[in-house]
Amino acid sequence: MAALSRLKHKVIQTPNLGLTATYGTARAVQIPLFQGSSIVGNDARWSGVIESVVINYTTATGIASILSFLSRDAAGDAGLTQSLTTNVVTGTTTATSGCIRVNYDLTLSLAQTSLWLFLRTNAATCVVTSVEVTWRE
Amino acid sequence: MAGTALFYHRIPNTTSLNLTNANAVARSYAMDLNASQSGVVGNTRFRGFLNTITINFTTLVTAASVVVTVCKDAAGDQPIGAFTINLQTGVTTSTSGGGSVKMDIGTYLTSPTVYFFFRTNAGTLTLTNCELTWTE
Repeated sequence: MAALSRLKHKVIQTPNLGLTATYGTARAVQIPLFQGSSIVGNDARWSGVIESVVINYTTATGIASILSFLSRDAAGDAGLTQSLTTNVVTGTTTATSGCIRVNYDLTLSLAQTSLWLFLRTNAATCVVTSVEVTWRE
Repeated sequence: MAGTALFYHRIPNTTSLNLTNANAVARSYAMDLNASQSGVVGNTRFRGFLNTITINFTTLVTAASVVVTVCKDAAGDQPIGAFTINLQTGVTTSTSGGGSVKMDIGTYLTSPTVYFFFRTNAGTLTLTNCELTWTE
């Protein structure tokens, strides 16, 4: 029989966000889950599976990992996931660049359409250049 | 090719509960799994996947996690699973926060109501919001 797929979506933000070793509201990235969607009437709710988040950074100064969590609010007081520590993968040509990938596979139905990703380093600093969230219907 | 999607259901409960480190009937929620489709005639049973529980809290004292025991009865004597939510404390208000846990229980229940019993690992907090996501 033919295979059935579930529609996938990607949300891409390019914040150029300087990270330090502490969480803060200035170091959060808004994730508009319906970014680029032409679906009508999607202004109040979102349902789907958050699959993964890929974060690219540059100008790192000795970081070993990036910590992150998803929150329902911009203040970071309504956490949706626990803070996760992910070891960085450094660049081949430019050692101060790199990425992390966080796998969630989290099935949610929310009465909101944006989440906030809070980020910090384990130590020292880097600049987050892009955040890509993949989700499926 | 065309994609297919699941049907998602969101079951919220915003009754405030003061949690301790012990389960009790007074610290439980009745979750009507068919509340989001109450107009459907004959929904006296439940068939679906219980996917995810999310919670939010305030006035945290000491607790690092919350254990949710999912039961078929209001007395809490017929559990179908227990799940630990590791808590994420707030950035702006450190005594607030939230968390989530994946259940992934595929189940067929003869009653569409399940009961969530909450307790902390230690200390106390005030549960302000709980949401269950289930899929058909």
